[in-house]
Amino acid sequence: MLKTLVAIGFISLSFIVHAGADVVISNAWVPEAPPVARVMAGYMTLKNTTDKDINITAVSSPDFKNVEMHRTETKDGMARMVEQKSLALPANGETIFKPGGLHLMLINPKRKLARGDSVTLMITADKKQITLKAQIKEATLDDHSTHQHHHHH
Amino acid sequence: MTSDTEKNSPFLAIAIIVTVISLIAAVVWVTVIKPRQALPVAIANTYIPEGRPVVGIQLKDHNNQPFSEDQFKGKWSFLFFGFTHCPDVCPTTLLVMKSVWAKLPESAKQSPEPQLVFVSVDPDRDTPAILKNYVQYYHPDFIAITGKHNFIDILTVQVGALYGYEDGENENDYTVNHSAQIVLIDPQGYFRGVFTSPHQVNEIVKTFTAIRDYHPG
Repeated sequence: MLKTLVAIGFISLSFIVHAGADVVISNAWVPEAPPVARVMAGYMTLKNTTDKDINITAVSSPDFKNVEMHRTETKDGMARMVEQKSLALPANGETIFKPGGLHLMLINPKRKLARGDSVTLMITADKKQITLKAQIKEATLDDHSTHQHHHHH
Repeated sequence: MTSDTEKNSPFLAIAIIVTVISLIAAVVWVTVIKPRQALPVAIANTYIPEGRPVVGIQLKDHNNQPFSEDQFKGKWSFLFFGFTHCPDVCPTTLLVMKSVWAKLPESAKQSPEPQLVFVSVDPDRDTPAILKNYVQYYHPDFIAITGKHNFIDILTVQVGALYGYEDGENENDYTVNHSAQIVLIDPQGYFRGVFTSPHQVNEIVKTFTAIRDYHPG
């Protein structure tokens, strides 16, 4: 019995570590939005370190009523958001969520969020869950993913 | 005498034809070809030489005040069509315009001064109070307008902007597809230019400054 419990413990532990190692998420940030805004965007970089594609099938957050993955597409001068129910992270590849492209749509914040705050994101990658924090930062045209400690003038 | 006339008439006819063709060519050159060729390279992709007056506008601004085409007069208006439930494109475009405002040379800010007008194509969710908070978060001088759909359409059709709704999972979750371009209206109230996306701050600053220099009046 004890052996089984220990084994289960090891398996679940290895799952968490494994999930963390399979998909490495960095530079998760949320641009601050006007106080009245009912939706915010989330950006981040996801690295699939494995030799196989990994699918992101869900994103949620305790800080928002709902979270969706979208891709902004501009065709013939028309901008539209295309929801991605599932997103394949290519093997050994990097997938970047950034302004004008892939983004998280964070719908109905449950509390007032301003720069300096952070929110929790839960990402389901091939049935494993990755939990991470994203910081609310000043909305600028700079790509925060390349300037983590950028000083604003 | 008779032989003289017979001799001269082909010459005369040719002379008349040549003169008429030259005159037509000159008129076409001066009225059509030359104005287009004369358009400086810096503004050629943005500026609309013919222009078109924008009329019949009956919208409300972010202070719930009537907004008509009179509000375009005496200012250079940058119009962007969007909605506040827009997480990516609209904030990015407003940040671009905030940056443009910061980078415009003093000469380009003088009268007729530029104004940024955010046109909400989602009047059911975007009330004037929400719009005021939203645009002024980006810049205290930015203004927003909206109104009933048929009145929004009166504006969009005149400046070639489009929008449409796409259902979400819940009734109030719909999203709005919208033109990504920024429309320029001149101080005489004419539709005068289009900045296509993706929008680059320096590009808009340079082009707008050149348009101001070029545009008569």
